[in-house]
Amino acid sequence: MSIQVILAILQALPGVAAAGTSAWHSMIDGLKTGDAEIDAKLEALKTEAVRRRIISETEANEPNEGGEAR
Amino acid sequence: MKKLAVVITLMLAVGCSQSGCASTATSKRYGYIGLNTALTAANLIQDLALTTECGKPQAPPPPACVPDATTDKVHTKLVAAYKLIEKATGVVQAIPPSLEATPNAEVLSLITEIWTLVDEIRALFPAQVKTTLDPQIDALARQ
Repeated sequence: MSIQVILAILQALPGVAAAGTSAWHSMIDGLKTGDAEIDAKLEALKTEAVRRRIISETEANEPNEGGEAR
Repeated sequence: MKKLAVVITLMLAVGCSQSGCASTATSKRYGYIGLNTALTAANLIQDLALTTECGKPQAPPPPACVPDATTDKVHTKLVAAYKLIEKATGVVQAIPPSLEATPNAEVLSLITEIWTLVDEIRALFPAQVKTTLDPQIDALARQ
């Protein structure tokens, strides 16, 4: 269930909107912040994977000792 | 060897394998943890392949060094593993923020493929190299 759906349900409930949604908003904001940090880490992870892949591609295509192509 | 891929997949499917992250777990976080572990394993293998190839200055003498043909196979499989990591990273990045901590099925499938490749690569190394590599990879799986 998405955040939007959960919020919509909570906000539709009488009394809950006033009393409860600020806590939910805080919790969801926290999750969004956490996921933003994860996004940055994922970007760094992808960059490292690309860098490492290029190293392996180069090694796999390098001629062997004695000039023999791999 | 297939056991490792199964263990990793189960750990990711059941929940976060690292203590303390359960309370803040999201699908995106699960995906990141799984991919980070897979990348670390691939990097360990690459570092080892780069330093143990027969003829390289830092390589051990035969039979402990890795023949050219084997190194070629290792790097070819590593290329495939890194491509899968890149693909899976894109999938995890596209996961929207969510309260659900259910691991994404596509990410799980890709991570399983990566660990299967890791297992295949491990099997290519000579016994002397495996003695160094296997405990490190197993330790990653237990994290």
